[in-house]
Amino acid sequence: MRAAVRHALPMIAMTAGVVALQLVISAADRQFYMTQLVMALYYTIVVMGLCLVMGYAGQVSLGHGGFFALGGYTSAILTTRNLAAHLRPETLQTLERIGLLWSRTDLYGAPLATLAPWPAFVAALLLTGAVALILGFPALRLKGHYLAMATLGFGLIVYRMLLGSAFTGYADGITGVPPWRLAPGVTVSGAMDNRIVNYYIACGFLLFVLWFLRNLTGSRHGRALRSIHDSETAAKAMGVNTPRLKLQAFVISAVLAAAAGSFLTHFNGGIGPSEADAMKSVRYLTLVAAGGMANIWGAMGVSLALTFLSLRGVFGVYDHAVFGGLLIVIVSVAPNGPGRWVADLLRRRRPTVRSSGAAAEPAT
Amino acid sequence: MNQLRVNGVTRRFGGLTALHDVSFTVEPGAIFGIIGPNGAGKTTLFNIVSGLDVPSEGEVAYGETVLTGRPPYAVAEQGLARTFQNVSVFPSMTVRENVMIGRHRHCRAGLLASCLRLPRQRREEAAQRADADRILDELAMAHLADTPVSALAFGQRRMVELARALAAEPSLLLLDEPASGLTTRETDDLAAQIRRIRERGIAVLLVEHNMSLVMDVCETILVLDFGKRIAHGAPADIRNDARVIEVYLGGERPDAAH
Repeated sequence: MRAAVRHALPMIAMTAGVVALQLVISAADRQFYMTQLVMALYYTIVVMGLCLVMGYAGQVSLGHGGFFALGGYTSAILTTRNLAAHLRPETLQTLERIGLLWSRTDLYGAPLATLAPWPAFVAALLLTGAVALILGFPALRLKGHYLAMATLGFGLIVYRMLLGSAFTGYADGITGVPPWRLAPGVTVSGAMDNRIVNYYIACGFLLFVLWFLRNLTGSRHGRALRSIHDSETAAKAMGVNTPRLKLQAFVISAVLAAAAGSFLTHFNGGIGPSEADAMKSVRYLTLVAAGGMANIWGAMGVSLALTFLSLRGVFGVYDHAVFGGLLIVIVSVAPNGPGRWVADLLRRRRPTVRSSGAAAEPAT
Repeated sequence: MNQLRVNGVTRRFGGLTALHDVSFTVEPGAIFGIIGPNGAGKTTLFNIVSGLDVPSEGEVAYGETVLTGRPPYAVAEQGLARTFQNVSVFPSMTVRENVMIGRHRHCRAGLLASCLRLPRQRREEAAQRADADRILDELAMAHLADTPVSALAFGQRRMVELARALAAEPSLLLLDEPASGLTTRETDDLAAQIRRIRERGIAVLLVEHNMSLVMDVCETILVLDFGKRIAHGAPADIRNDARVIEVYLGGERPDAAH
């Protein structure tokens, strides 16, 4: 019972924080913060997923921008491509009745029938999961930074393909992505009067990811991932199927990125190729490192704060410089993340145990 | 209970033959020692048995199962557990977490059950935790359970590694120079520990430099020199074997002419 309370307490505190933040923003009449806050929440989900791969499995991925875009574009394409001309009316009706299809009329009154957001979302997750599996399967069997190279290549290819293909709208990307009605009164869209609802949708999603990842990292699978990070040889000798576990972590992480991409695409009403830009992937990686690597809370906190400030344009033209500078400062001063650094200061003891021991151990 | 059979194992690294046609058998529940000077091929042999290395020729079998060619985690599944010469514990985890990794192969809850914290997974987790605490208790390390391994002294880390291996409930335990870096007293404790392990029906394959420990606990000893088997038998025979004495104490080699 006490363990259950200890497990639930941070989640309850987080939920209270979410509500408090909304009340403060509303009270201060700063509702326009909500837009960037929601975007920051979705990007933070990507960072938290990447934290699993980098911090826990010890693998570097430079393709998470690509996975995010893959999820977003799949949703965008499937919910905007008109199928009315390709399907027989009876088929349309049947598909609509089971909820797969969504008929409406476009701006000019012509019939428009597209896939509904839910099946498009599922398709986005499945497609991204499959791509991550194909990418990770060979790369994670090898020792060394093969995953970093494979995912870097993947990200560049996705970016170039999105930019160069009529199917994905060239540099304009895809616009006119419809709102996604999750439940009555709960719709993912960027409409002005819908800001607070979307804030809670994004927060709910973030809290789910936090709960999910904390469960994973606190379980035997999380321990096994950390053991790979410490000594892959010893982990294998203790019966941990290391290639498989690394692959599972990588696929989960990629699917989380795709889910965030899909949500943000519905929120923004569109998506552009810049989401797959290599700099985006580098930024996700930076935020994981700044959060303290194997530290989901740190990744979440640092990413939320910095992404929000960056989207508000606080850093201006120095955006990249600020990120780079902050990374250097955090990694040199607080390598386990700002949260643990503060906690160690409060406890008035030098933060040596975790970091130095891990670094000094030989790899065998 | 299974018998470990090493059959004509040869391992070449480029032009160097680290092991040359080595064969031996470890009976269930036996304590088997491998000794030899530095570079004799002991650790290579260990890595081949535990699946971390693949022999150039020959094969290793455990009971009915051929181990050669299987990845290390599949070898561990067969009931083999090992420790490492330079102690490979997981420094970022606590002592209990390290031991719980040893329980990994006995866990059945899937990844999804872990992510969603299903009741079945929570029960299993609690059981593994209790098992780990029991093993720590048996090794008189219960008070260290929540200590990060990075804060422990070398000798204690060795014991954590041993606890982790025992947590896997192996039927064959491979110890790679478990006494290196230990004090005399710690070595005596280790000898007692190894005998206790044998009493639980676990066979022990021991690579060691410390002669007195090997002579003390082993029933059968294999002596390697430059990858070749030069003697094999009971401690008393090994102690009086002319070639073994020569290898360890030096002297004119019969083949020194070329």
